[in-house]
Amino acid sequence: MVRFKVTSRLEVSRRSILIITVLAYIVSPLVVLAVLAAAGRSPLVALDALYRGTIGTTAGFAESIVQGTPLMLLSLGLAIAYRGKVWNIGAEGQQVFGAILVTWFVLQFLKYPLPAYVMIPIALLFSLLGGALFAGIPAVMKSRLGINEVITTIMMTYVAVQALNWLVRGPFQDKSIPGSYPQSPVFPPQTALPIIIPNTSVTVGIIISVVSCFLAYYILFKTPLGYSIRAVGYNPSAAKTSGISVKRVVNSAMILSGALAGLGGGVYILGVTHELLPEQASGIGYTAVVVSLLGNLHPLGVIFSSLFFGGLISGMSSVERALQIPRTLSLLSQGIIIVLILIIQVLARYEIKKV
Amino acid sequence: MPTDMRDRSAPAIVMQGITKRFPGGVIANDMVDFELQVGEIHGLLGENGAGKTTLMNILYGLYQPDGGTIRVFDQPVTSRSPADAIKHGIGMVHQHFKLVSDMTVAENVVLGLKSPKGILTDTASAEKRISTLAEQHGLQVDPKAQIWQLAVGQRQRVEILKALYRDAEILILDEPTSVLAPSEVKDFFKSLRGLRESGISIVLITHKLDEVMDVTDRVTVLRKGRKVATQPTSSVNQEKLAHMMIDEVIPPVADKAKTAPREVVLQVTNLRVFDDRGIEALRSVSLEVRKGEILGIAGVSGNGQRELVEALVGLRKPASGSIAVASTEIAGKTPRSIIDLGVAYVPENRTEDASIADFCIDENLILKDFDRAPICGMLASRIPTLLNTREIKSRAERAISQFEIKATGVSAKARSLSGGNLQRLVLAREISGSPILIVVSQPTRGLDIAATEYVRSLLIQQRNRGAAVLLVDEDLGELITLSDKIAVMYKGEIVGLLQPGRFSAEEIGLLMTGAKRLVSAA
Amino acid sequence: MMVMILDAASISDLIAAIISLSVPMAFAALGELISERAGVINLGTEGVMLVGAISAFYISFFHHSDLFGVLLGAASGALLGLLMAFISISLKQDQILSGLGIYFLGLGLSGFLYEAIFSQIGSTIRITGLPQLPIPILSQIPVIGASFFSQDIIEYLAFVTLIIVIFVVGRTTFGLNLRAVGENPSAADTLGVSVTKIRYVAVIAGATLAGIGGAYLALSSHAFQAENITAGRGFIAVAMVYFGKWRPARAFFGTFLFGAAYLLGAFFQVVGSFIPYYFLLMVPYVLTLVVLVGIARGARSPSALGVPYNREGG
Repeated sequence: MVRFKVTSRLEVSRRSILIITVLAYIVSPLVVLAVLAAAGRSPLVALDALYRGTIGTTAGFAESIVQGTPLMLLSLGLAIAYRGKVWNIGAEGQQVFGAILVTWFVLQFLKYPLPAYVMIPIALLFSLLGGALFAGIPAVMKSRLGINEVITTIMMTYVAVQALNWLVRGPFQDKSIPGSYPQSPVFPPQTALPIIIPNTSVTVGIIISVVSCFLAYYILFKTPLGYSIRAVGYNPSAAKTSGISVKRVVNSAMILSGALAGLGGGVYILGVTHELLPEQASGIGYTAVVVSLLGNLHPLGVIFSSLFFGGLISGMSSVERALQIPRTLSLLSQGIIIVLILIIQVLARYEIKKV
Repeated sequence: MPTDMRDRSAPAIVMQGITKRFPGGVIANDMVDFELQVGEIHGLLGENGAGKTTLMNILYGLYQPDGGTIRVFDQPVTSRSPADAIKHGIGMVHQHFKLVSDMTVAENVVLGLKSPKGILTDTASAEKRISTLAEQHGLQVDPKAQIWQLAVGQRQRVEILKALYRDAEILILDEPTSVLAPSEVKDFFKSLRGLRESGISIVLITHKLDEVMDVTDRVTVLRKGRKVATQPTSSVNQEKLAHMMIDEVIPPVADKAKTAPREVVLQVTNLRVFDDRGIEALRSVSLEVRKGEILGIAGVSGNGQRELVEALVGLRKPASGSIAVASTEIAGKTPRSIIDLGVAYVPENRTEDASIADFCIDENLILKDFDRAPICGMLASRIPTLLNTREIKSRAERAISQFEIKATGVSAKARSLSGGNLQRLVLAREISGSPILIVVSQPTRGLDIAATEYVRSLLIQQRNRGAAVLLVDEDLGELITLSDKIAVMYKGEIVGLLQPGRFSAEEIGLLMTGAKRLVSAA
Repeated sequence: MMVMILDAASISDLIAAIISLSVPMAFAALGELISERAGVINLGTEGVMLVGAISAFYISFFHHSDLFGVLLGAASGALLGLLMAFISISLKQDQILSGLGIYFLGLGLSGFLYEAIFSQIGSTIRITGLPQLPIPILSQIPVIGASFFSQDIIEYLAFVTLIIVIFVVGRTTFGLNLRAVGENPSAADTLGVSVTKIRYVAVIAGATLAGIGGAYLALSSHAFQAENITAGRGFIAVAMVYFGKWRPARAFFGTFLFGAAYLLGAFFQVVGSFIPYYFLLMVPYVLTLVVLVGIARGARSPSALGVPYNREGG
């Protein structure tokens, strides 16, 4: 029997990380095509649809950006949290809650909306707040009581989804239309994010997202806060001994990621749906976990990985339409991809020798 | 190999041409030959980092050699894991005990063995056999006790019993006396001689010359991964051994300037601290350290030193009592506020508590003050803004040159530094701010001689500068060399306060084991 | 979705319902406990349950054999456990991330398989559940008899599994080695215990049990909903190990608390109340949070939990 030994490399070169990442980018769509082929569908037709859905047409390209924008914000937040080894899995619940708070705000001004340059910033602020508050509970539970944040953030997400279900059928429901639909009233046009590419749904949201990534880069690598988050992530014991308040760092990382998730939810509802729907809980919060990993937990890497994934999602819809394939295919692909990433990343960080 | 197939007329162990390389280019063993005769106590001597433990880890199957052969009782063997080595009759007692603290002695001893009752554990018969073995070799211990309840010396017996229970005829002991008080060492050597009479062959890994002279029959000296010589102990003395161990010129330790007593910097009064299990680790301890003075804390590990240190630096909240630094009360305060008063801390576990392996040298140096000037830009002198990369880099460059840190550059990761260089890094960070109090624990553990002397000089230097130093050290000799006063701790109390010059190591050892108490003689 | 209890006054029906609702989590909790006592936290349990559910559902629908459904559920759980073990033990990847990977994989795989296999067949697909097996004489005891001693075979199996787990972990040499590996893997390693092998076995065994739990969930629900038949039960099971302070019986019976919580939602949906339906659905999750806070202090996990073992410290 052949035996292997896995030992960690002493120096992990940036170059090898980059190569591995690109490898993951290439392998992922191949994986999807392989799954399709296994399901008995033509990979060539799929490939063509994939191309058109991502960058081949303006509509496809725009859709890629639209899908990638909220994803970028959520993944960015997760990248920051994960650097501090704060495993926030509740981005989904946090973005839903951000959207809920935005809806509440907008509904106050439904009859007499304020001008856009007032409504939009305040609404986005509410989304930030919503996400931050929602993440605050698991944050405190971890920092004060040492409770595993994976479980608490997941539980909070279930709570958020049920709250969403209740609100769109209850207090937030649009009572002005006949019948009983689970949806809020449509938002006034003053709340819609301005469109930057004509005849598409691409809004300033993408600008907000990219700018946030650059801001996050500076925060993470050039400010004391970012330094403390990274220090705690690598070695909480040494950080604590040197005077860093691990509690404060954990709270900051969690709340910051929650705020960004909330913002993502806000950008989605103000840029795409313009009303509160059960579909707000689209699962994007879980996809963001994969995307942040694919971006190597780096704010700038997240820009690429989220746009890539946005393209993947857009491309997959195109493939679904072309080949009549169920929606759950994307779910499956995601699962395979994350496992692949974990396996591939090993190549960069470890040496595998035969013994 | 079944016990009856062992050829006891041959040497117990023959290792030839053993070579072992570690990632990073370190050659831990370089074509080393080693031979152990049946029924001898063979000392394996060398300074820290010479390759002694690595060689024995290879023998025990924990590491795989890159080259060389091993024969046990004249059978060629390849031990891929400790299970193989155990089968060949080899047992190893490591420097850091490998015991499961929540389990009983019996459970720890039978771990990994097949039970006579098939799949069921049979603790009763194990306990019986352990008691018999213990009686036979003078290693008494209660088989039903849980490990966390046992003192260090008793735990060591459990480790030896683990090997004997498995019919080990070869025992490797790695720095076994590092956790014992001087009087315990005497008893321990008596047990070793007893084991030798029973036919057990023993390898004693040590860096202490007096021990080699005391109990070994032969000694092999390693230096920088190579074997220097193997000699019968009767034909050498400590000077010759020292000469074989090291051949560098070591700068002498700086002289301790005699000073008149100055003001008190650290005042501890009636401090009570509980450990993680809720047991009282410090019982009403009082001590003081003055400016320009080194107070050494002597004691076998596990007598409250760790809790004392943790309370001093803010990592553990005292139950009652007071700790005052420069007249400011700090008991129960956060590490941050204590650091701000000018307290420096050099922890005993460099890699876990004092540095971040994946951070570069420059990032490690700013661990304590990354959010204040001059490392960080400040807004209105209150709000931290951006990190000042230029300052950070120049601080790192200064530290590397001033403290002679051997590294590839300021961006070298702490992970890549050797023990000695990592300690220099830690000291560079802690000492640079001219602290008024330095709390330091096991400063030279695992360091080679050059680094050890450097660290000692540094501590003396700081003392001469006027810092107050609290030194916790298991190395009694080092403690005596460096300290102006020594406080001996036993079971959470200070049982003696004395001046090193007036008492011998043996007498201090008696205090360490609780055999005597001394009212202050300082 | 659940078999509705219309006659709320019947306590034995209540007990039977609670047991039925709790058994999937109980299996998963026992499995997770084995894994965690060996030092490996497996957050993919939710995904494993989902895959177990779809496996059992498939077999039950097409081949009308519940027992083979459970077997397939166990086997698919074992396979996912093997993958989890490989990533977290051999590749030494962070256990949290590895487990999440398994979760997503299980989520995607089960959803995809359901749609691929069943979407053409119809909208609401139901399967028949397991028959009840009353124990003679004992099932005549009032209240307890009709519930506790009149369960189906998998429910009995759950209790048997609990006894087996208690026995194995506490009284066998394997259990001793397992606990040592979870507390001080280095100690076990130096005595020749293969940390890798024991952790592999523990993780695979744990996932197998979770697969059985998922299988039973499908069989007792009589239907399969792509993404949410488990609705967090796998994660609650992990929380239950924590809640039970890593003791089998406590974790096991802790899940019954949650079975009751799920029951509450179903009950009020039928009876109707002033509490909005969706709030009742929140109960298990809020309860988990409350429980975690309540027992936060004083819980001591296996010392090596969550840390990949490295012999040469590399």
